[in-house]
Amino acid sequence: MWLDILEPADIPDSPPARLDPRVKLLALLAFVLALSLWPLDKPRGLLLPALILAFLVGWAGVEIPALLRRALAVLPVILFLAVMIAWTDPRRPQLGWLPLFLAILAKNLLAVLAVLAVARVTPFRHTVRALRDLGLPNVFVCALQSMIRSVAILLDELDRLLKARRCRAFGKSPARDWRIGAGVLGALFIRSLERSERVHAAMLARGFDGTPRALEDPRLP
Amino acid sequence: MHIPDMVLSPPVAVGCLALSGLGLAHCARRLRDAHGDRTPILMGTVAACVFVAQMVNFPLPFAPVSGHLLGGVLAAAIVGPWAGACVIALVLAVQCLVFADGGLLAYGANVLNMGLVGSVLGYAVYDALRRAIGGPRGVVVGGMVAAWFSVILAAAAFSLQYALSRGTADFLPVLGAMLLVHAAIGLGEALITGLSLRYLLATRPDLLAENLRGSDQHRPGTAPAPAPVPVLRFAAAGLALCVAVAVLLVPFASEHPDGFEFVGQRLGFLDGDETGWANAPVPDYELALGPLPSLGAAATAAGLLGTVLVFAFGIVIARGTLLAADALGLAAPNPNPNPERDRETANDSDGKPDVA
Repeated sequence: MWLDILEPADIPDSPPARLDPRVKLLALLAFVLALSLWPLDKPRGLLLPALILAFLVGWAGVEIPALLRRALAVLPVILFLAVMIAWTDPRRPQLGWLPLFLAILAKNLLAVLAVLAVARVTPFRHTVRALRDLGLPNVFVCALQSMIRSVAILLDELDRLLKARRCRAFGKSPARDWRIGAGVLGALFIRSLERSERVHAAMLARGFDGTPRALEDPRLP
Repeated sequence: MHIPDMVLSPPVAVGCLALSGLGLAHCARRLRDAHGDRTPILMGTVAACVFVAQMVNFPLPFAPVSGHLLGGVLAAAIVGPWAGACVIALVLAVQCLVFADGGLLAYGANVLNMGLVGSVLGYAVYDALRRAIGGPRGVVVGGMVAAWFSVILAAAAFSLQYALSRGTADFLPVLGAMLLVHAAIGLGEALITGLSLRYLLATRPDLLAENLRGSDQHRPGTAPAPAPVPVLRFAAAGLALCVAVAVLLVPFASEHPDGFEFVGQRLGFLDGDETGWANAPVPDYELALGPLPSLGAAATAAGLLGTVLVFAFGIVIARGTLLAADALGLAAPNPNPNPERDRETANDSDGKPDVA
């Protein structure tokens, strides 16, 4: 699951997907900023960004059902907050509660869809590379690279720990007994700390000096 | 609990981005001093661990819901406050960029609330309690209380940001709703953090932060030097607790007259003209700021201001007392009654124990 999302194997090969990841990130930031600056009482103006996003998503070849499913997963938080904002907005008496709520929801949905679309056509290692080129300090770049590689390993580790627990626990599981879950968490922390020491030693032995290196270069020539 | 995109107004979001950027830069600098070139690997792996841990849902014993760990205080207890904040920032970055869980513009506010306020202030609370109670029980109890407070403080920080975005008249209702929900979530976080810390203490106590840091400077053949009592951390923890109390409880303070006022009104000696020869800056604990019309908000603001002022006065008076004692030649009392430490300081050039 993790690797499929971070490094999708079947990225559609289209001009928007082949863009320099820095361009994609900055365009995404500009899009979200423009959306958040648009006033709430002119919802018809949201049609333009929606059309642009739809065009780009179609051109890039992103699969729509999967995109919508992932956007739905983060919807509950904004629903609650949108109700609160629409209810307390000073324009509620003349505009009505529902139009404000729908406007907030639409703005947030457009932003979420834009982020997810960019994430779908950009392998995360390219995003990290773009952040580094845009000025993120080396410490964080190396940490991000280390993190995305470690998560895959730790997910396997978690699988093994949970399986061992199931074998020894006579039917109880972390989903039913929180004491077991905490033990699994603690074991995961210990193993990841020990693993970090071994990985660091191995990297030092191979000449790691703190600067992140990669073989491929996704930038435009 | 991650703030989505269109909730905070753009100025507040950008301001939080700037603040969190400064905070993370400071954390990175402290990390490099503490761990050297092991820093990025350590941060990345612990961040991966926290990310994976956030995927595991636990049933909470007191409610028919399942909670999941945020992990700020647990990470800080293991690798230190600065690394803990950076770890949370990394996890939030991946969640924001890959899963859109947390807005792109709201990233700064999320890092500020959960990483800097949650992890760093939470570590201050954890450390103070750990030293006060002492031993493994101190670690577990400190971790649990700090975890609850980190969730509450993060929720309060969000309420502040929301009020600054939407108009500060909304501050108290939003604060009340957020704190109610997050007090329950904080209990789950406290439980999970406490149990994990207990497991860690039982299996690998050498991995907890103080020991982790000490091992980098440990010279073979010598006993590790016991650390002096960090006054600044105690002060930060105490201030965080007082601010939390001021913000949470002051609005619910009763408006009935207290004992003295009641007797005075009954017997009539408080009916006279109450204006003295000078006007107090904050009469009757009501800070009359323009955008804070309600009495509860005014009381909260006054309570916050009073807490900070009392704290500042306390520091000034304490420092003044120490200076006066030095000037008069009175010996300062030894704050660390550790015989090993005393033996060590007897060999120091100036003979005074150093207080961090």
